[in-house]
Amino acid sequence: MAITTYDFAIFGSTPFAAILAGCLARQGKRVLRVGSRASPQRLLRRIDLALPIATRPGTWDVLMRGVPEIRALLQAMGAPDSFVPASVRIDHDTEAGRAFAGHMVHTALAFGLKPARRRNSMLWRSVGMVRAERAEDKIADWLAAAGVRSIDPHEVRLSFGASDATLLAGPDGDIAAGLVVLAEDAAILELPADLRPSILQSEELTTTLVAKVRPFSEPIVLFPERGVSLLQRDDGSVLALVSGSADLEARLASAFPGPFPIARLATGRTHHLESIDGAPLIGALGHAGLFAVAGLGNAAVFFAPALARHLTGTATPAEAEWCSAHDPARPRDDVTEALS
Amino acid sequence: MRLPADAAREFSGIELDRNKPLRFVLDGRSIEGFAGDTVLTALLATGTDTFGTLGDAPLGLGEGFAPLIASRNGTPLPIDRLPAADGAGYATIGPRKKKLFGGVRSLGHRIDEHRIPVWSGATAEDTLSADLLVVGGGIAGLSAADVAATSGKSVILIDRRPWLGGDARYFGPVGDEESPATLTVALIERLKGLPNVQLLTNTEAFSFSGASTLVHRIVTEAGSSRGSVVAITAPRIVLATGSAQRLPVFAGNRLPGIVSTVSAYHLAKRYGVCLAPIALVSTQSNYAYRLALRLHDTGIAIRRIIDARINPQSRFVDFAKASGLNLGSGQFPLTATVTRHGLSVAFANVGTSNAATTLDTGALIVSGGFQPELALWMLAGGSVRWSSDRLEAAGHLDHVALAGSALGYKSLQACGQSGKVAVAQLFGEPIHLIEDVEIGASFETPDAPTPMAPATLGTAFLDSGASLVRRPTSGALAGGQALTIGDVTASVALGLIAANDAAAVAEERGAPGGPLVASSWTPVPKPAPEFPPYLAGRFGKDPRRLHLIVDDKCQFEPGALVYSNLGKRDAMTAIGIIVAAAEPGGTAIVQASADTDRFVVETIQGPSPARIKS
Repeated sequence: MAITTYDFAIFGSTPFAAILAGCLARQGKRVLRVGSRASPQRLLRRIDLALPIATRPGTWDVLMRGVPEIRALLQAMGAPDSFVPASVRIDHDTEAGRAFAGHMVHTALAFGLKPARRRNSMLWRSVGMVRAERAEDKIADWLAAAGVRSIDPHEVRLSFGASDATLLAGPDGDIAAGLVVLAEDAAILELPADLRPSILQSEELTTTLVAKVRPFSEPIVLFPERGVSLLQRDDGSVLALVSGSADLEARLASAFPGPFPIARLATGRTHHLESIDGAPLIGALGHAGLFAVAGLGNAAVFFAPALARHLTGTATPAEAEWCSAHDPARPRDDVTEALS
Repeated sequence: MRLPADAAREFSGIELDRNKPLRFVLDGRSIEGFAGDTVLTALLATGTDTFGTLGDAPLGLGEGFAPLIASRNGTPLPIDRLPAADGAGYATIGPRKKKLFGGVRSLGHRIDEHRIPVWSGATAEDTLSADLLVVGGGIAGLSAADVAATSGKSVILIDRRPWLGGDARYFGPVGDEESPATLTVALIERLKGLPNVQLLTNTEAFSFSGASTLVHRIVTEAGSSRGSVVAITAPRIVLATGSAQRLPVFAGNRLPGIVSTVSAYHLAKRYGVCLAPIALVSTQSNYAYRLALRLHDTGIAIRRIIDARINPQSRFVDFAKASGLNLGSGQFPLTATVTRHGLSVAFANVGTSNAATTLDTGALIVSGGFQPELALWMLAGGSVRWSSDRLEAAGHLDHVALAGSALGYKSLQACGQSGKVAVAQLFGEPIHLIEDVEIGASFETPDAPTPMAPATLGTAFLDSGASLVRRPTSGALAGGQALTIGDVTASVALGLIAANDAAAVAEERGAPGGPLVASSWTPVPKPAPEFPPYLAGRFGKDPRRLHLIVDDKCQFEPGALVYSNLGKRDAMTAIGIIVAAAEPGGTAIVQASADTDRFVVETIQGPSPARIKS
């Protein structure tokens, strides 16, 4: 049977996974991307936003270098309108949350951003946002031009041999990959439980689209302590992402100013991963040739270029240090973003 | 128009008592009808067939798309389920235009968005309980109720329509099957006589939560109707919700005067109503010929039956030919437009996109394929999958079973058997095989897919319900709209949704959940930590805790970065951070190795010198 060899097999259907794959290919690597395109009628499961819920300067440092890179990449692909500035409000409910917000604001200030602080919220202007639906065709062309082979997840089977090797079977035969990178929660969730880092916990993610409501003052409103994110779309409808299943309805409704009732147009349910300490997880798993990236939140796509460099050994010292610090094998105290 | 009292084929209206005429007032106009009419059928019988306009497009009234009305002393009610009452006064709810399209034909509404049924956020006023809830009063639901009740279980059967029996009569018997009318009437009569069965018509399920199902009922007592929300507690549920007829997609497909074959059948059979004395039938199936023959027998002039199939073969086609009906084949509807006397309908030859035939008519009766009605299944947590040209149920729910055409069965016998099997499945009893007998393709030409015009030449809707999703003139569907399961099915046929995404889109859009109601939820209060975890490791081991001040007034905010007054200031070189405000200044943690007692604190207003408070 034929064996096709790649340097990297990137699992993931998100813009993060696609750009990671493309960046690796542009560095001369042979790349297989295992992902599919979703119909525009599917509900989004993330907001690609250059705004990590993070206080640590290292994270902001890598992010701030990634934002112009992503913008330039999208322009070079011919999709400049997929990178847009957005206004974001982040609300906090508890004293611990407000303290976290204070630290986050000051870290961002040190990187030249100018968030405005209110007692219970932060306002962020001109935050870079990727409108993935506007870039999908261009990203697909860019991947193809870079020589990335894309196949549907249903066509690939990932298994784990007794020899501690990660095995891939594709539609045309076996696939050998130097490194299998699980760059999407869904792929990590399919791992056997003993391979999944214990710091990652699976949470229900409910995505709800509600009918047109009164215009929000900022189109994106995040409630980290309620696990709710809102994105008001151009037509006035609102996409809401809710993490966790406890008090789901109450938490979701609490994020809306009203008037009520508000009609729901669509609801999707899936699972995603959150790290217990709120920090990203980047590194090899306990099986040869298996690497995972998780917990980057809304900002994931902006870390893709740095991660590609890290995977090929061409990262800057700061990038390499930041990536290594988030390795699952390392102690987590120095990277935690836990509230209290 | 009302068909004559002696109309053939019982097309005088089996729900009506023609000896009891009635009159009510709606939006200031007097409407006449008979006992047994709904408000909707009385309107249609007296020539009001238009809901209003969406943009510039007039929209027809029909089952599943009609305004709510408020009675003088009651709550808003749907007119397709509300029994017409003599002497009642009603007003439709919603914005209306002063100058009405179509004059007396129209209720004159300005339709601008998808509206929430007013009861969908309501709490239950009453509770009922039973061993089994059956949703749907067609042959499958009736059979399920019958077998469960006969074995001693208490049963509640609900149906959103004012009557029981489902759509089986439209199709008629196959071969030597018992007549659907005979079978359903016998089952209904038997169930009515059982003390452990409650039959609730005019009752629509809209929410499931475990064993509790919320329904909206219209109860009529002493000639007065009111709506109420009732919680039905039943640990097991049979969903016999039937199939919905799909709407052919062409410009003008929801103009007043256009009706589906199944709706046209029920209007005539149940209420003696036909939308016009002249009708044109557009079909892709044999059953439309059966309907056309029956309407012809009542005196309706059938302008022509135009079939999307080329030279279809069927006993009904032969009967239509023998009856002298004018038939055409190999054509599908391209556009419909309103004329002074009714509709003008252009048909194109299959495989082309130009009008080949244009016909004037009073009413256009259109036939499409059938999509299992799975909205409640998805609302209960069930999954769906795409299968060739429709969405089918997938997965398993412990306490809910599907039955009948909702599960894809076609014949009367199979639908009945599947109702019994659903009950056996839920109660852990032996399950028998279901035999679904169809007439072979060598005898009758199979149905063609639901017709889809090749291009958008005007406003074309994807489905006939309240979602009002229009076919885009170019590009993708707008994302911020509700999609029914019919919208999704049509979108796949038109290439607007990929087939492998159809199930996921349908599950997302088909079971969105009830409307959001106000909530004051907040997280459990959490005090600010003295040393937050997210500062761990940032300033080395055992950082110093210092009280920094600049003067006797200035306060430093928590989070402000602290630098040596000698070094450069960027976040990566900060030697400390303010962790708590103080009066004055603030408490900072600072690297133990920092060899300075002069600092700069980066506040929101800008850098501030700072020193250790002595």
